[in-house]
Amino acid sequence: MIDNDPTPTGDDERNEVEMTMRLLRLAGQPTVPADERLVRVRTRVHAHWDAGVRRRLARRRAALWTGMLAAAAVLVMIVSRIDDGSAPTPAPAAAAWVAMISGPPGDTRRVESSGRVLPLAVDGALHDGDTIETGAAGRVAMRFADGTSMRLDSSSRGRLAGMRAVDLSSGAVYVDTGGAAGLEIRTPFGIARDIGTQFEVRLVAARVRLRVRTGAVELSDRRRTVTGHAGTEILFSATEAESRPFAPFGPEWQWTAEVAAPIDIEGLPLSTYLERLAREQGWSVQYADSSLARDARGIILHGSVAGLAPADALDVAIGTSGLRYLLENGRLVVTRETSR
Amino acid sequence: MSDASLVRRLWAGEEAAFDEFFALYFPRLYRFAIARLNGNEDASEEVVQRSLIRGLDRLHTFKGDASLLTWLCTICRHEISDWIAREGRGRAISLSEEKEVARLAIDSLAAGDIDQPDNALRRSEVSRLVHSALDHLPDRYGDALKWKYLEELPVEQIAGRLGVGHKAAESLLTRARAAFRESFSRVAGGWATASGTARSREEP
Repeated sequence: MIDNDPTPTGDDERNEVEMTMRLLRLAGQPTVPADERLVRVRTRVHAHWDAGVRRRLARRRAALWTGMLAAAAVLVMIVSRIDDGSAPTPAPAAAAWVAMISGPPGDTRRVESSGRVLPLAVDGALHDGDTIETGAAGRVAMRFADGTSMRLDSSSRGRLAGMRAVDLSSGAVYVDTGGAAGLEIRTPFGIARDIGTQFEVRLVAARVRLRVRTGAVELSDRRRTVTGHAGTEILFSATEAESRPFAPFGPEWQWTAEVAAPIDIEGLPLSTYLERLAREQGWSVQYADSSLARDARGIILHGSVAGLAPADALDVAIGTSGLRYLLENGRLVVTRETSR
Repeated sequence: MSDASLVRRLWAGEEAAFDEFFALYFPRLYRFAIARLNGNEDASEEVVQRSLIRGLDRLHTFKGDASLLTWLCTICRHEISDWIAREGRGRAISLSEEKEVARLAIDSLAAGDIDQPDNALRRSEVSRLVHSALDHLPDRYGDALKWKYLEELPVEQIAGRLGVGHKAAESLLTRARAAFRESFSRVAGGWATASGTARSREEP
């Protein structure tokens, strides 16, 4: 069947249409390598290419230094005559900082673009070109200058590409932009661009899986762009872009909370604490009535819930405020003691 | 994005260039290899991996006389021969033998007897030639042709997938068919017509 086809104008063109159709149907769909083969080959070829690039850069640097040594011998004469009050060479600007690390020591690391491997430290600066790697039990939370929080799951590898992009080559990242926009998560199978949101990007076999908790995220490759909205999951590869509903809360998101910085409740209004906790957990907060919502803004918390599981932290924060709560299907309903 | 630009970016160590390179050439080389290794998937994986590594190591020797895909296929052909020699399984089919097989398959297609039960090998050869021809086309052309003639999508829907208007999609389909005809003629050595086989000039 050739419907809506541009009308062929001559025998030659008719033949071209018919033969093209016949050949394509005879050939059928092309052979596509299995996902696990693709991932296996990509990992090995990438490692080889990456090592080659590093070797070339190191050789170039060595050649540059050799050439510069002669020049330095002359320059040192001039420099020695100049007053030594000049400012030191500024360190490169940080692209992000380490906010939190979990897992055994040595299970997280930073690989500089020069190839130097360094351990990570909380509050340590991360620079453009740094690659952050986590082992089987390590996780890292990072914060960008605009407040965006990015968390790298275990067995993951992400390279900072400038201030607003991350190249994810394995594992998963979770991003909470907190209202800022423009962070790109680049993967071999597509690029995820947030539109002010919370989302997770995970490489699964030869696909990228996007889960959007709030807001929206654009996912694109060279040919297509699809938009994932809050509460959806998209499986994206060269041959598919499948979207389906996915709850923004639940155990599949748990890892993101495990590497989140603890909320310091000292002096914090109960309402603010609940908003922050709900944001981390993907819940919505609902008060039994508007006067209770007002009251929650006036209840000031003291002490600490660091180290407590979300449910236990809720028990402490709400229980000590003379209130009760019900957590059901991602909805946190706060009531007065007497209204239940 | 031209081949030369991709090669320059790869040589400079640009991660996005590697992603592009792998996404473009791994599936194409895999199809090239598997068709020449009797469907042996493990052997194809090994051969393609070696070809890509060798290609990346020798990027500085890529002159741009042929397309990057053709250049990589040449490397892959050597790797296939090495694999066959190393494993002692069968023998590598030479380029001229391949062309002869292709000629017979195209003649069968033109004669209309390709669907005969005893022509399974020729059908399989035509299939290889078609996929090889498609692999040499820009992605948009290949996609448009598959959507139109395999999935039988109306032009309206193809236009939607390509993000262009109806007229532009029609025009793209026309260009895609012409490009396919040229590409197929090049890999197969000719183009079947209702009245026979139109031979193209011999490939170097």
